[in-house]
Amino acid sequence: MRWYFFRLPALCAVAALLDLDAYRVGQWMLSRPIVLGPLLGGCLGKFGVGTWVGGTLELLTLDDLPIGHCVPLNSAVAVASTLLLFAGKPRVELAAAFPAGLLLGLLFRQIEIALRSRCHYLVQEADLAIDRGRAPSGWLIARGICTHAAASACFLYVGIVVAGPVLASGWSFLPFKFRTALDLALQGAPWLGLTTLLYVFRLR
Amino acid sequence: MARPDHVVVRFSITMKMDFRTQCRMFVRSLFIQGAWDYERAQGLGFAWCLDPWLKGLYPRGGQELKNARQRHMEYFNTQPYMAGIVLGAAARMEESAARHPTPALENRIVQVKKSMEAALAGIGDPLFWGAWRPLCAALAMALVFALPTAHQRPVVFGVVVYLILYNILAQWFRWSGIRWGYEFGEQVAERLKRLDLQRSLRRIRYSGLILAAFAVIATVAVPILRGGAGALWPVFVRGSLLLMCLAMKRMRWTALRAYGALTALAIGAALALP
Repeated sequence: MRWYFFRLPALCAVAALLDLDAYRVGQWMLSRPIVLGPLLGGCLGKFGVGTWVGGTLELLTLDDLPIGHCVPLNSAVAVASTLLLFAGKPRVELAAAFPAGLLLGLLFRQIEIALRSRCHYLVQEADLAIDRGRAPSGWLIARGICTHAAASACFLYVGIVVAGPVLASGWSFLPFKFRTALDLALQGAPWLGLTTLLYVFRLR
Repeated sequence: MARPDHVVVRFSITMKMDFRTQCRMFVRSLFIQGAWDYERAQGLGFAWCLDPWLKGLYPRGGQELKNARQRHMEYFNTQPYMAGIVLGAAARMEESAARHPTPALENRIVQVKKSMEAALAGIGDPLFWGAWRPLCAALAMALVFALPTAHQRPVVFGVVVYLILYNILAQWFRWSGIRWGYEFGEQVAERLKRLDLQRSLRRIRYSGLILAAFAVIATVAVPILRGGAGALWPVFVRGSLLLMCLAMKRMRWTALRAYGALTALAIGAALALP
């Protein structure tokens, strides 16, 4: 109970606040997996796993760039959901939590697109305010930021609450060979990250 | 001496780009993407950043202030660290427009903004997202692996180094850009050429490539040096995996797709093996 009513909401709130840094506020790279992984891992008592997940996801998402109108996979949601699934109750094996985290990060991308479209109403309010001789209010920007934070916190919470028990029980029913295969794929993830690092710096 | 009739003194402009004003613009520029949308992108954020400056230029408000605000509510999108340059340049041009208002100058402000946003995005995106961020991440990871791993300190050290190193350049650009844009106005692009950012970008990329190459050699070849001939098979497997992943990147597969392919391959291998 303590997990669902105190720890999980608090950690989802922390991850959601740091996720704001990815796009909305500051861009100080606090939302990057290499920072969020060890941080959340430390909070969950799984510092080593958090570092591994954070480092691997950082490399995997190095070339997923937020250029123009492009919305990349949300790496903050991906790393947070992987760690919360792994360290939560019920505990999900990392081999299942990692791809689930990637999927949740991709799913949140759709929500992010919807949130950006909704900000159109804030712009309309700003236009009205200017027409009436007032300044575009900072509260409109604050509303955009708060909506994003609330959406990512809720998404993380609901995602963990729904996916956690499903993945944990599904893992136990999975044939041994499939479990081994998922473990092997997980071991290959850092290599995929290493090739992404090589590819990002390729001579052009 | 009496003032000629054709000279209209509207008001005295007391705004100046001092440290306090630059601070205020800098802090506001941190939220420039707070209400990003598909129609105006950073438009609302830009107008909000520039608003204290505009209120200073037109303290009595009126139609000029309204027009200035509407000018800057239009579509605007650039790399967030480079937005400070456009803010400074817009502040400079608005100051000129407030002193000598003409429709041509007011239109020029909008045109200059549009030309600068794409050019600066073309500099900022490859520099920060494509080169500096990966290099800082690679350096941090190299530090983590190079330092003794008795406990958590190397990781914390690596993360702190990553954040400090990255933000020294990024936030310096965001801060200084406001001053550059204000001092040089439309000519800021010419001044930016003197920084020779393309050469810096090449140096960052070469440094990153060397780091990445060392990482590959360390993970693939070092086991041979340690394990001798017995390590050949694991090295062969690792090398093959690396080449396969490189092929996936060559086909521009995203991380999720590539991981899915790895998983499918692993399931196939698991099913095929007895």
